[in-house]
Amino acid sequence: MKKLWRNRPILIALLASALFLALAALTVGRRTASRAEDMFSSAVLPVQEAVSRTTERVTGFFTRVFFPSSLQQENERLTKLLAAYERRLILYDAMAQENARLSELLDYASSNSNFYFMTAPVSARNMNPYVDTITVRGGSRNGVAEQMAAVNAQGIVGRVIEVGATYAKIRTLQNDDMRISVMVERTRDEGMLGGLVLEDGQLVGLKLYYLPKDADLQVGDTIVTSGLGGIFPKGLYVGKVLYLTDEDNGEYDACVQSDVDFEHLEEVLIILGKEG
Amino acid sequence: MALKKYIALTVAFLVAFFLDTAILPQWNLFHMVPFVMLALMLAAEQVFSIQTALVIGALGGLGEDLLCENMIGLTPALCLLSAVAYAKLPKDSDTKPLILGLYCAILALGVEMLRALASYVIGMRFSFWNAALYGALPRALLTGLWALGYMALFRPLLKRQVDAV
Repeated sequence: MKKLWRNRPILIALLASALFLALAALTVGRRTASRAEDMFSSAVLPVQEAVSRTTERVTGFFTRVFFPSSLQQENERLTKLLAAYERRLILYDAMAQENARLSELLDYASSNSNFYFMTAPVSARNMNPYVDTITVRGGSRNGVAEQMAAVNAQGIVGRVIEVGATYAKIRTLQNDDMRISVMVERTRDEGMLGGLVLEDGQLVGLKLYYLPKDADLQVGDTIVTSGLGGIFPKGLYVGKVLYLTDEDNGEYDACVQSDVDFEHLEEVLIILGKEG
Repeated sequence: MALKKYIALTVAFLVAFFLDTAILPQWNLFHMVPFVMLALMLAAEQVFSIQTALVIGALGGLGEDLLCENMIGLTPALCLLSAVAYAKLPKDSDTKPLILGLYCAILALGVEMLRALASYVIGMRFSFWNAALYGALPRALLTGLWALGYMALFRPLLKRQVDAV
């Protein structure tokens, strides 16, 4: 064999070629690797990957050095794409937040199905830090009238004080001259809510007064509208008692904290009427 | 001296293997990459012996097929056939390198066209004209050049070996 290999290499080469071609014909269209292939690939591929990664780095380096313009164009293209995706993401976040808020309003409207509501997006607010008046989209054309109550999922927002054809202005509970007839949900004692409680210039809550002298008011009691006065329907959530004042204070009986985030109002529900 | 030759050939073989299977496919300017293993084999045949070339062609071709081809055996068969063809080409020790490079390029073109034909036979459809002009021809020319480079690299080894003998 050694002699043949030395003297007749061409013959051996032709025979080997024929064998290889036969092997090629046998392996055409196969889908599963043979054991030998599997072993060879398993042994070589890690080295192959290392070489590939190194080549990628070297190629990347030379591309950056010799073709900076193409890299710059790619960079500009990707920057634009990123900006477009960021805009979309911001839009998506805003929509998700709006969806969450509207879902809350819908839940509120569903749980008070005896009222007719209109959803009104807040379009403007005055520059007063305590946001005493907001302007919403939706006016007389939509059935909004003065003195209608405005609420959201967190409770009473305020009442309509001015109506245009397509807008309405709402005075919120945070206005010092707003007064609402309320009652303690647990004891049914009635009183009046209105006026701001300020501590060191910071708004803490709203004043609750005119409660009966023997009223059993406790911190955490829920305050709801009493329905007297005709503006706010009975039973709407207003807030919770934050603290009680001294018996002889005389000015007000308790401080009530509303759950409404007046500084970040984006939609309100205006109560257009009641069923029946 | 023979040991140096084998070491040089082994290193060249491994480099050619990784150039063909990992490096050049990523760095192919205008899809023009030489067939380095074929170039190495033909250069080894020119400088050393046909037996050395056959071993390189068979092992290298088979290794590359096992990693990259779906017809295992095609590349070593084509390499061995081109080694036989190269042995039959008219040449002697005075043949100019340019002619040797041209031989290698012609054989590489033959290998590429046969590979294209084999692909066509198993169902691939493409234009032979495009395959020859934009694929096989530039690859063959580069392979010829590469083979000349290997020959220039190996000649000193052979000279030292002859001197030693």
